[in-house]
Amino acid sequence: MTDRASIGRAGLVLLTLAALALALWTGGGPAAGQREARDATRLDDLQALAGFALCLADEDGAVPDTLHDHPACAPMPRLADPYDGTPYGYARIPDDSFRLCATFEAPDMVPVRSGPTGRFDPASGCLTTRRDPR
Amino acid sequence: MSRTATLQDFTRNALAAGRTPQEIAAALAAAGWSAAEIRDALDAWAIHPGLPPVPRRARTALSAGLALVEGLHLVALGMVAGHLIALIFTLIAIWLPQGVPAPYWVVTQLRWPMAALVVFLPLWLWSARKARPAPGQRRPALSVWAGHLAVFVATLSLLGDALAVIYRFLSGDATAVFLLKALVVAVIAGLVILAMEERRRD
Repeated sequence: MTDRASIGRAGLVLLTLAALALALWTGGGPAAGQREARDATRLDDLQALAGFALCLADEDGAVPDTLHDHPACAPMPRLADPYDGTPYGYARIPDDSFRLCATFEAPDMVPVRSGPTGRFDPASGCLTTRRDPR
Repeated sequence: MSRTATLQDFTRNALAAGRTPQEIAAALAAAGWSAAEIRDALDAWAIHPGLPPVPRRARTALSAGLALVEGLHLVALGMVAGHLIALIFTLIAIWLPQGVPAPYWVVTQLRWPMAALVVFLPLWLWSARKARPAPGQRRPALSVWAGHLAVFVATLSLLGDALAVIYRFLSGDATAVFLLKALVVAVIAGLVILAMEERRRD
C-alpha cells in the first residue's frame, strides 16, 4: 500500500512541477508582469489624455491641433511616458477625431478596449477617439 | 465486558492456544464480525514463538498538534489538486485554443494557481511526512478519517467527470479539448486516491 501511496505522491509532484515549468515558460516571470503593469499605466495615460482632449474640444468648439493648458480642463495629464520619457503622440485626424499613441512593450498583452475615450488598437499602440457631435 | 473486549479476549486466547490468524479470522467471519473488526483484532497482537500473544501498542494518540498537521494536510491537498487543475486548464486554453486564440488576459490567469502551488505543494509534502506514524505504530483514527474524506471528494470528482463526459458526448459536443480536460481531472483525482491509500488502509 505504501508503494501505491508513493506513486500517487510522486505523480502529483511531477505533474505539478511540469505544469509550473510550462506555465512559467508560457506566461513569463516577474519581468513579464512588470511589462504588463507599465503598459497598463501607458494605456491609462492615453485614456486620461483623450478625456482631456475631449474637454478642450468642448471648450474650443473643435478638436484641438495640439494639447494645451486650459483652466476648464485642468489639470493637464502626463504628456510623456513616465518610464522612458518618450512624449506620447497626439494627432488630429479627419472626421472630428484625434489619435493618441504610445510605445508598448508587450502590445499583445494590452487589451483591446472600446469606451467613451475611444478605441484602443494594440497593433498600432494608438487610441482613436471621435468627438460626439453636439 | 463490551463486545470489543470480548473480541480482543477471544483473539488473544485463540492465538495463545496456537490457532493461526487465518483460522481465527474464518471463525470470526462465520460469527458475523466484519473484515475491519477482524483485522483490528488480529493486528492488536504480535506473535512471537515461545511467548504468549504480545499486545501491540494501540493507535498513536491524537494530539492537538497532530490534528493541526492533519488539517493542514487536507487543506494543502485540496489547494494543490484544485489549483493544479486550474493551471492545466489555463495552459490548455492557451496552447490548444478552440477556434479563436485565447484572449490576452488568459496568460495572467496562470499566476494565481502558480503561486498557490508553490506555497501548498511543499506544505502538503511536509505535513504528509510530519503525520507519518513512528515505526510499529498505527495512525490515529482522525488520520484514517482524513484519508477517507479525501478519497470521498476525489471519488465525487471522478463521478462528476464521468457524468460530464457522457453528457457532452450525448450533446454531440465531446471535443478533443474537453476530453483532454476531463482526462486531467481523472488523472489528478486518481493520484489523490493513490496518495491517500496508506492512510485508509492503516
